[in-house]
Amino acid sequence: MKIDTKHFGEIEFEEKDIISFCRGLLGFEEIKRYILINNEDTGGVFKWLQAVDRPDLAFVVMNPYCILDDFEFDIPDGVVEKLGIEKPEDVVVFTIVVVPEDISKMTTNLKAPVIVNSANNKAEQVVLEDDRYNLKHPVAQSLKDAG
Amino acid sequence: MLVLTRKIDESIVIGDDIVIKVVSVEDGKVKLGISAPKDMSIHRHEVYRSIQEENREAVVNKEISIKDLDSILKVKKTSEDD
Repeated sequence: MKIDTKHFGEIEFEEKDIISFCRGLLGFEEIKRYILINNEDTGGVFKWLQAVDRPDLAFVVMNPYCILDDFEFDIPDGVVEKLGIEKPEDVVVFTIVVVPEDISKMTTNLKAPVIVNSANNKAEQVVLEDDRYNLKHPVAQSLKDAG
Repeated sequence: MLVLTRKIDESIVIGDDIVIKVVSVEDGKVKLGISAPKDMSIHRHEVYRSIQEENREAVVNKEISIKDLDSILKVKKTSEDD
């Protein structure tokens, strides 16, 4: 399959690479099919999340464990069921990144991580009722702290 | 909008399988107990809205160089070397 994206030009992928959201990202509930585009340069920390049906819609996402190795939360039972999660090792977590003009101020949303069941590529954005995690967690600062 | 009056321990039913019960009322705060199917997500409205807004803000609408994001990581690596 091919799509002509606004930011990456034409990209080619296979049906099995598509990540399907049962309910789209909040604010984009109707957009349910995405693909993850890897950036080899960054050692896998940042990726692009490109909508399959909206060539103009893309997000930067990241592996939150690169900035917070004790990021922990319970996946609601309903989500476990909806995504058909059978084994903990199938669960992949990424968080959405906001990149402002001054990229050193980029933040990521730890309050609403995206859960993917890598066994079937079903995904959902969950909202955590945990006050430790907030919507605008600074990325650069955390990376330095972690180092 | 439908407006109903309920007392403590009274409930309302929405559809066949959602029950919302008034658990307590204190100092202008209402505590609600909600029973709903597991696949139904329930959020405080302001939290839900703030996440919608955050997602909208995250949409890539300009050229972002992953190399530049990468440079943030390199800052980290450099500070580790020091």
